[in-house]
Amino acid sequence: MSGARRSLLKRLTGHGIPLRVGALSAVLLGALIVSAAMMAWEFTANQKRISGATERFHQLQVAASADRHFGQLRYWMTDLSVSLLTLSERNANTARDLLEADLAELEGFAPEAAAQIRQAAVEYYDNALRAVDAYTEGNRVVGNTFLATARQGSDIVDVALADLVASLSQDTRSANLVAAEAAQQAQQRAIIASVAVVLLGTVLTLRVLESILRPLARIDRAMTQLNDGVETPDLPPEGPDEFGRMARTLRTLHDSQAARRVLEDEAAEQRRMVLTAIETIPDGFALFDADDRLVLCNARYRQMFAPAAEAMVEGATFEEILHAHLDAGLIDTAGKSRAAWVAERLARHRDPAGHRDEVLLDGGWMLVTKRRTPDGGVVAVYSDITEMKTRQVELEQARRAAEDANEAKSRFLASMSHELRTPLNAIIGYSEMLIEDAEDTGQTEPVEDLERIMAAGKHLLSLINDILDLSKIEAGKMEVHIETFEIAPLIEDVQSTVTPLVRQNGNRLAVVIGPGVRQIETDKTKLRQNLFNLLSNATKFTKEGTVELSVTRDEDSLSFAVRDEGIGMTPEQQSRLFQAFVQADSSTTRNYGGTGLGLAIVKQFTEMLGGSIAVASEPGKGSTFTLTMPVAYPGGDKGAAAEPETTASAPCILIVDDDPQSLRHIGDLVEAEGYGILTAGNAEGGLALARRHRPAAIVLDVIMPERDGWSVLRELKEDPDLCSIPVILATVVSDRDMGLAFGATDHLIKPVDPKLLAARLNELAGQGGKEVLVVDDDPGTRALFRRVLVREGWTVREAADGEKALVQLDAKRPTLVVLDLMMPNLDGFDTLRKMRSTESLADLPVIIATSKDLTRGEIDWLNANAREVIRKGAAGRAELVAAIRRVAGPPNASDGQGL
Amino acid sequence: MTKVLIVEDNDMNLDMLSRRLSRKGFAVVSARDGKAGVEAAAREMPDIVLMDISLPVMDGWEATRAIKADPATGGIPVIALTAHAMDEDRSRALDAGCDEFHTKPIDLPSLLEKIGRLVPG
Repeated sequence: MSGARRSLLKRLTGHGIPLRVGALSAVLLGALIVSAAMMAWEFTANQKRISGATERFHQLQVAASADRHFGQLRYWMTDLSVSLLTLSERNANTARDLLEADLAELEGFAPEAAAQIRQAAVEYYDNALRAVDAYTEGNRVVGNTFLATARQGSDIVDVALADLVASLSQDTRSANLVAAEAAQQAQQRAIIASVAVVLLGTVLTLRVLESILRPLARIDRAMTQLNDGVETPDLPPEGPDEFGRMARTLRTLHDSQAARRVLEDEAAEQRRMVLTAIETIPDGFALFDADDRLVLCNARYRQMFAPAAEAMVEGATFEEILHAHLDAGLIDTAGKSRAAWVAERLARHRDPAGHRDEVLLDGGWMLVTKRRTPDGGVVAVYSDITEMKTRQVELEQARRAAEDANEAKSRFLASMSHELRTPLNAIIGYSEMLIEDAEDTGQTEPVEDLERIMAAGKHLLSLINDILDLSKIEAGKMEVHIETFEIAPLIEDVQSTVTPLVRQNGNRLAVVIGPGVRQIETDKTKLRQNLFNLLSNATKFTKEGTVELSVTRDEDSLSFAVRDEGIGMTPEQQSRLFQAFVQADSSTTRNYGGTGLGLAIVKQFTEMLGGSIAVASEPGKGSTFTLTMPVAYPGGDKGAAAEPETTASAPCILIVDDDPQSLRHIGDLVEAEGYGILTAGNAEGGLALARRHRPAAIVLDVIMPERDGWSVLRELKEDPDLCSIPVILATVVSDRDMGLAFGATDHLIKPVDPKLLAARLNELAGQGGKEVLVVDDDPGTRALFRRVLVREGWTVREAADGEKALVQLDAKRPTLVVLDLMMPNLDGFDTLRKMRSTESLADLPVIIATSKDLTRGEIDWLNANAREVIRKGAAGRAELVAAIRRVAGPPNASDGQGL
Repeated sequence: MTKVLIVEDNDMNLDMLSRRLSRKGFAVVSARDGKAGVEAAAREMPDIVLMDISLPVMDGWEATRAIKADPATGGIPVIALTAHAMDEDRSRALDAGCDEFHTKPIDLPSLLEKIGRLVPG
């Protein structure tokens, strides 16, 4: 039974609730219809039975009526036979008609009996009529006979009718019995059917309800459990119906609840960690929300502001906290009003960029760092920096003390060096004098000892100078004096200074100046001192060998390499090389002399000037010190001095060629000849450069794409400003005549022969073409200068005063002018002033050569308007040469290289 | 004969320099402090003044300025002698009106060259 119920439930839960309720309704409705139909059928059957019984009863009545009417007929016939009255006859006829009607009806259900009765009745009537007729006629006997015969017939009718009635009543009775019985049975069946329908309906309804209510109750329970957060709720099984789906939804809900719980646990764990971390940091931490309310803080924060801790609770605004701090007397508002102080702190607090303040709090220092969080809140960190601050103050004091001490040391060194120099002066001077005296009087014996005294004095002096330099460097008091100057004269200068030392050790000095080495912008004195130091070192450690100084140009730096063939150094020795007071070996000082300060100074000077020094060495094979200096001094803005234009100092050659390789090749050749170069890769660029820079000569490639050299040449020659610039055509084909016809000065076939190019350039723009105008009223001076200048490779023109000079200048512009100041007619100042105000002469280099005592103002004016100012006199000649070289470049690139 | 005024407070330096210059054919007069130097310049009208810088009473800068300010002595060239081999001293010397600048210890040939340049003939 329970198995069947379960299978029924199972089948029910396999379908949806609407189907389930629909099926229940359908079943109940069907049962109702079936029972109603059954009842209707029963009712109809009963009715039929009842109408059958009624029919029989009617037949019985008809039979009884026939019996009665026959009796009446018999009566009236008998009466008639007796009375012969018409009335009786009429009555007898009526009875006979009635009987006939009854019989006609009887014929419908008992035809045999009806026919028998009619026959018997007709026989009776006929016999009775005959009897009447007989009596009417008075024949009584005959009447009697007929009457007797009639009576016999009447008996037959009576018997027949009696039989019929008996039979009919018997039928009626039995039919009634059957109908009653059937009705009773139908009633029973109806009752059974009703009960069955009710039972079925109840059972089905209960099942369907059960199939709905039970899962509903489980779901309700599960939902309650889920709601209560029970971790493993009793979830109903999932299935295809609504409850199954609800169960699935509940599971999903449960799963997501579980997942959320895991996430919540993790979040809680993280929060705990963060809180622990915040609590653990040694600094005070506070987080304010966008409304400046305290959201979170650690105990350290409250502890730092302990007297106001009560106000520093979550939810308190920053302003309230500030007031609490003030109330607790934690804050020194530094004279500000309370409102102003709070307003200032609030503004700082809300500063979107955050802030970092050191605050004096309750006698200690606190570092307050605030930062905006992305959601507009503020994170504040409060660090106690009292100790750090104290240390900082101590350090500051210590630093100041150290600085003071250093200052005192520098002052001491400076004054000491002065105090030391004065007696040294005497030592060196007197020994020099004694040497001179001894030599004068021919007493050669003490000379050697006196020379030792003098040498020792000079050594001591250089030592003092080095110490002074180092102390100045250390004190940051070493100044640099940046100027732009020519390399070659500097090298010559150094060379002549170091030569006696070089010779002492029987060495040879080789100087190699590479191409492109011309000018440098740096501190001349320091560079000279560096080179001298390196060279004197090199020659000190080399005996009867070669010391080589080579200067090479890189992109934007110059390298001065000093190579010796001396004792060399191990890597370990090299590492200590540039430290002050340290030589490669402590025995070195004993063997070779020197202070051990030289290289330290070289290194300091070099770095001060933005350069670097490197050493490569091998023990026994010599060393190479390489000084690398930037061509332009990197510090400060010495714009004017850094002017890279070389046109003024060395003539500039423009090279126009579309082939980069050829451009570089010719460029290198030209540079090697000591000229400045300008390069252009096409015709337009070349013409633009020519117009802007007015080069001394142009080397022009003929075959170029777009515009060829001929077209450039034509344009150059048509331009009045450019037509005087000599042009050398460089081409692979020989069309010299055509070039010359177009106005070219010369023609070279590619690949260009360096010697030919150099010769042509020197002819056109170089030394051969360099012209100097010497303006001086003293013919002797002019003659002296002419000799000097011609030896330097210059073409010299002369003018006796300023007026004549201006006429000459107007006629032809020379490369430079050497100008005396004191002259008749127009003196040097006015001449220079006029030149500077004439457009074509404004940039003409001028060297002032004078014996006049210049005032400060005159010196300043000349410095601004002339390139160089030199003194006539003993050293005038050398100074003129140096100045001219500084202004116009080295006379010849092959000069001054090597000894 | 070229007349040289040496203004120098150090006895040894003065002795040495004056003896060396005398031997080279200069007429040497001397003064021991700046003030005395200015007075000596006006009195002696030397061809050139060699001026030590660290001097008592009046230092060399001031003395040079005084000499250059006096129209009578303004044309006399002055060479500053200093033991401070410092660049700022060079510019200070020129600012004060010195015509030249010479670092001690004195290298006689180069001093003579400077004198020769400032005093023609």
